[in-house]
Amino acid sequence: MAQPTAYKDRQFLAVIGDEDSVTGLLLAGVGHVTSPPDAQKNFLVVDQKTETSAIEQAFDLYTSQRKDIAILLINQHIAERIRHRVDAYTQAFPSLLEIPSKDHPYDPEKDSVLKRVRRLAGE
Amino acid sequence: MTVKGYFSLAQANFTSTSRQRYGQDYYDERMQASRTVMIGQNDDEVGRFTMSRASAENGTKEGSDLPPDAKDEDERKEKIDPRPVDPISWFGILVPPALRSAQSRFVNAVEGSIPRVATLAKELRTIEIEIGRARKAIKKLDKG
Repeated sequence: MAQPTAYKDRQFLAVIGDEDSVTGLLLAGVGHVTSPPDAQKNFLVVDQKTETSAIEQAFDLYTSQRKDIAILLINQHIAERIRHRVDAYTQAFPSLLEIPSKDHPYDPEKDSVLKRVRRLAGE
Repeated sequence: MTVKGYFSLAQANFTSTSRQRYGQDYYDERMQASRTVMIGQNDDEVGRFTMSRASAENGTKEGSDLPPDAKDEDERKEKIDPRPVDPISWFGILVPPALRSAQSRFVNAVEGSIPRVATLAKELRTIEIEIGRARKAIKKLDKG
């Protein structure tokens, strides 16, 4: 297994998003399924029926358990559902980015990165 | 953040013109990534993200100055087996132009904005830590 610090092994872009976001990113060729029997995907399609616990699980999988993820993209409206986890995230890798989705306009006020910038500049 | 523009544009385009739903029902269960991330390291310990591309859609377009049979070709074959296919083929042979334009927009985002923003976020993180340290140092001086 890879060391947590071995950033060179981090090569995949993972995504937690609605179907269109995931489809678009997979069209760009970032999708990856590891070889069986594990067959782990680097994406999770989330809809209204998806349990928040499943989102959290995927978040843990991509940020903590797997050591081969370099960037994790999450739709902002999904990040909202696990906001406490996203805001508390401080690891260097994977880099966590909130992205807009078709149905939910992007709100910079909610973005964890921009919130941190504000905190830095504000105080 | 240009990611926004790319994405909303791509997605609007994507859904408005296609009658059929191009979605998860068609995903290839054994897909292999043809675009992967490389994390570089520069002097200030800040990771720089770039995308690298395995010989995927157009086979020969990969790499700029490497001969096609260079040794990293072999490495790549080891890593990516079976050879990645263009994901657009999951959706059939004749796909609407909108789907192709969605693909190219997402490719732009994945190759351009996303690694750029990831790099910036990383730099921000580093600056954040530095500011935190500086503030602490100031507090100490104030007390003393």
